[in-house]
Amino acid sequence: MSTVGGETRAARQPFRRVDEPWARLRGAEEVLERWQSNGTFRNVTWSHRVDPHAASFADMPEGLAPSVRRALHGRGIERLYSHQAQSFELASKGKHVVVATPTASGKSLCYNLPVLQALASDPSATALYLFPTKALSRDQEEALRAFMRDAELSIGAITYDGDTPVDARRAARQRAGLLLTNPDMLHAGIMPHHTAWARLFSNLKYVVVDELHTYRGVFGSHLANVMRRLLRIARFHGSSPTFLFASATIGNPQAHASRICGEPVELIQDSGAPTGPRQVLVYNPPIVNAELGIRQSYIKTAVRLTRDLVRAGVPTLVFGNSRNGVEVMLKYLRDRLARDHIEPSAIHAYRGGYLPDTRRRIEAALRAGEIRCVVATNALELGIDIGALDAVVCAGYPGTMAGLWQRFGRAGRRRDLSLSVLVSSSNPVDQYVARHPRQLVSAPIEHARIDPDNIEILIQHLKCAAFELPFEPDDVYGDVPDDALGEALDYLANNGVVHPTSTSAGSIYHWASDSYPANNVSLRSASWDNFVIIDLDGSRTIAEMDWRSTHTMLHEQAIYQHEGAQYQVERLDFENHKAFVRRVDPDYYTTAMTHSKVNVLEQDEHATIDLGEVPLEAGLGDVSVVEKVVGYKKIKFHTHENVGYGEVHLPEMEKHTSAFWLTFSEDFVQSQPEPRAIVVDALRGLSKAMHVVGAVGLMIDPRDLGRTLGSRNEDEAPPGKGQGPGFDPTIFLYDSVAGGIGLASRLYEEREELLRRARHLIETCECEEGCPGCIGPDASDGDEPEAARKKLVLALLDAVGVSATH
Amino acid sequence: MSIKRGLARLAQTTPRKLDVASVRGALPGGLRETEHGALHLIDEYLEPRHHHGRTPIASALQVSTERLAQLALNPELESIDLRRALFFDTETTGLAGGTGTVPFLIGIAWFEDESMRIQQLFLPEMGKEAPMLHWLRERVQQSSCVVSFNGKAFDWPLLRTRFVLNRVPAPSLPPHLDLLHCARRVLRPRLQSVRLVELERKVLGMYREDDVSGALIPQLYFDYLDGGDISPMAKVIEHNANDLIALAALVAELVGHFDEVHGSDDPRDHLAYAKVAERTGDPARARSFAVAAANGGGEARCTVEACLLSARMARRGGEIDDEERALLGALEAADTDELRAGVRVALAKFYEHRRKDLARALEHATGTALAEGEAAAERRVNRLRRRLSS
Repeated sequence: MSTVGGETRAARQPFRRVDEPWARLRGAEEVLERWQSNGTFRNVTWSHRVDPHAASFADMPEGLAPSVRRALHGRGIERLYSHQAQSFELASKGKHVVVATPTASGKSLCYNLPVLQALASDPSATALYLFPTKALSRDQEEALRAFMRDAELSIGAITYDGDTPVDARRAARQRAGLLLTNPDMLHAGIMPHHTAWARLFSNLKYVVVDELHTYRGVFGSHLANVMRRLLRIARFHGSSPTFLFASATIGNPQAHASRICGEPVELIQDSGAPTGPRQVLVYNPPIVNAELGIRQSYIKTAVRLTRDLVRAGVPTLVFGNSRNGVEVMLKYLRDRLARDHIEPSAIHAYRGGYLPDTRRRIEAALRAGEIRCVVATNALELGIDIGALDAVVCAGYPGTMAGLWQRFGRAGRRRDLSLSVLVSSSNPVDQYVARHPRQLVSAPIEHARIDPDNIEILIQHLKCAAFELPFEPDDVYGDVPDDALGEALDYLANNGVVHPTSTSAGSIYHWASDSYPANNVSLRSASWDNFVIIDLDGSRTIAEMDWRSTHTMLHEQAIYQHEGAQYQVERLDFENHKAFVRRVDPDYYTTAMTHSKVNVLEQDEHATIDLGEVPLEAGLGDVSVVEKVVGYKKIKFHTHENVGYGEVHLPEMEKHTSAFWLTFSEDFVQSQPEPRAIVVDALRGLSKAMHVVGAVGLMIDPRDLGRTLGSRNEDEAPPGKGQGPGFDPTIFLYDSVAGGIGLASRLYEEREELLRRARHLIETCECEEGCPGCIGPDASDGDEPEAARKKLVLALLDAVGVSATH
Repeated sequence: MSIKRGLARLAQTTPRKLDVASVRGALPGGLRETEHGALHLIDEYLEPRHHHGRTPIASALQVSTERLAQLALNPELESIDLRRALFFDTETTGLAGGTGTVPFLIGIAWFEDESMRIQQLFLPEMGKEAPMLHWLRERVQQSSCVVSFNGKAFDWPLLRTRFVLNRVPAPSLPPHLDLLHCARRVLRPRLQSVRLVELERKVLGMYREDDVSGALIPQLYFDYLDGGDISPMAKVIEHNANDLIALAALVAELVGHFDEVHGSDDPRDHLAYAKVAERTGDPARARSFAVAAANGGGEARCTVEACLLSARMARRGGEIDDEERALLGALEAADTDELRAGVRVALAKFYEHRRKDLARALEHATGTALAEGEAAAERRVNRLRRRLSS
């Protein structure tokens, strides 16, 4: 089939008139052939065929209730996939189970079947389903209700979230056998009123946690505490539920699930579901500026590849890593595809910031096939069922391999070929992946890391727990040791929020404050603390945004992009969490410039790295990190040139966390032949390389690891500069999450290996003077450094005796 | 960061609470042994002639339970024995609700002959709720109804939570008279706020001296728990007793004034009572209160509304002349075009359907647009013209 044919057909037949949506059987194959013949493949650094996987079936479990069996029969299910049968069997024995099989392998049946079985055999049994988003609960509620009706179960399945009407809330409390909600609602709306939910808690047989992989970092640490509280409440009401987890692929599903619920969990990870072949491509846009290591725009490249796919009738999902990226791609795609007579409405954005109504409308249009290409941030990773997609294009590496495979997993059919494309950006980690693409299948996949004992998180939840039930002397809170629990409660007592009463067995701690602690604890940044974005023309709320993003996205004068249109922020009302915007039509967008400063609060560990002539000081401890947005750049659409700057005046954001640091003495800097500023700039380059290899080595999202170059001693560093003479330049790598989740200490332990890997990265990078993939491009803004940066970094490493191991 | 290290860090940055100076006296009341443990009980009788403001509280016993049931929109209250009514009010550690809000003082009261008996159950330390709850449970089970102010939304759900948490079986609640809802129904049009303190001043003529502010009460209790001075707690106990007494006085006033028309009452009150009577199927009472409201010399809007209600009641009784008089009275009272338009709609309907006087109906129908909209008014006029010419 010729390429021309494909184009002609697309032009003759406008997509909005196609009756059978997205139904082009050979579309993906055709595009692949075309890319091979037209030179596109020259920039493909890796082309990998994932083989199809045949189905593995198991018989219906013997004990399955006849009504449930009939319901399955009605759905054409006569046998189960092996993993579904396995899950049923383990759950029936009361074992906690985590099912970690690929997207679209029928995971929901793995938990629905044991739950329905329980309800069929005991009408008073209850189950609690937790989904990370409201949209997912609604989706599941519909499916479950139909299933339960067919299984002749009269017990209700009710979604209880912020959108549930008052009447339905009462019904949910009194009657729901199966309650679907999200962790936030459980935390703030249900558990603090657990006595009103006595029916649910005293008969609680199963707790289903879907999309387990999304609960990592802060959110996961919160969830683990929510589960500790849940189990306390369940114990009070006399129940001891079995946990059923479902997860996308992560490196440690079993350990992670076990950390979340605090008990051993059985793992099921061999999927019995069939999958069609998948072609994976890693496309590294060609270098356009070899000196600076700048590559062709990955955004534009992703748009071009997507255009090829959509024109050939291949239903495509495009992922961007930022809201801005998504909006820019949406605008470009609509512009370009208009030339192919494809209506702009057939290409749509989908992202977390959309209000629920908008999201549901888009989901419906997707299912109906009215939308042929969706541009999304990670919202779709969450498994919303939008029907069969043939291709996924990731504009930029999502930061983790698990995240990438979850995105790739959104495309895929039972039999036919699907296409998964990663377009790497100039970001260091992207370049690392593009240059080591085999790691995508050979390296171990990332672990989901949480720290339920993170002190800030733990204390917040202990307050909530004390509000829910007084702490008795023999009380258990997850696996927190008794003495630590006692100290934490004494801490709360000293702060007057709990009141200790002495008894012969020990102290009882009662909540003693005129407040509702759950309201002050947000499980994720994106919930109660959201800023609303108000369009001044029409005075309507067009979106919400997580407050952490407001500093960089909603500062005054920022161009905010929403559904392909541009708005300028006229006023940011920080106190009331509102941003007022007005529709504009600029030829540029804005990106914020941030500055961060680290101050050591307490040093826990200290070591000298003595490998060569000059020793290095390494440390580990608690730091305060102050981040501030200092200004923004205006970037012109399409050409991406920098067309101006502006100042931003926003409060600083401060957090306490754990950091690893590496100090180069001032004497060492002075002893170098190069000027001080250039040596410091080289060290900053080294910190970038350490950040890249650190993130890759720890298998984490690079955003979880903060980096800055400053002074070991804050007082000596001029604020905002960090380059004045007389201070010891120090590289800081720190946990982005306040309180830390243990990344810094891992880096400290592997400090020498970290330096060696950084050296290896720099040595093997093909750029000349530093590129985003290693030490970063020269950032001196016009002051041309005289020395070759890369050579200087390597010379500095020589001086401290770091040689590459590889 | 280990938990212990983290705690040390947090402790550095958060100020420790100051110790409260320990100057304690004795709280009123005393400990009473019960089969469920010691209970701190404040138990007292009021004089039979006790007045709250200008209201003798024993007059609460005299009110008609039919009126009471009507006012509460709850037929269950019709035949209750007021001598077994239990008044209750709680003081709590907060207003947030949920499992962490504790009622540390549960006030209950009932009549014994003409005297009010007040018992206040005080929580001397956290965790000793069981004796209080058992005591309350027994009292509730003996009662014909419970009377509260906002108890349906606040106090009772909170108490139910305490029963569950302390594993004491909750009593099944007899009919619940929540005076907040009654007060809203009757007094909202006249008083902007129907908070208890406002009602006390404006309905009962009672001004408390040296009362504690409700907002401070949780902290006063926490201070007490921490060993602080007891005198603020004694004031909280007095405050709670006064709230209980106010409940009885309010029953007397709210229901008493519904039993028969008090000429000196505000026409807005009369109108509100008329509406309650209409809603509960008591047209005769509705009409007499509506007439009182119409003749009360109130604002035009109130008079017009009263006349219209009066006309509706007359129609029910088939008294066509009275209906006409009431409607014309409404028209006379209406002092704005908008009010007149509303009345003219009623008059147009009245003459068209009741009097079959199409000409007069048309006369009024030409001025209804402001009330029913241009389109509906035009349809009405056209229909009447058509019928007149046929």
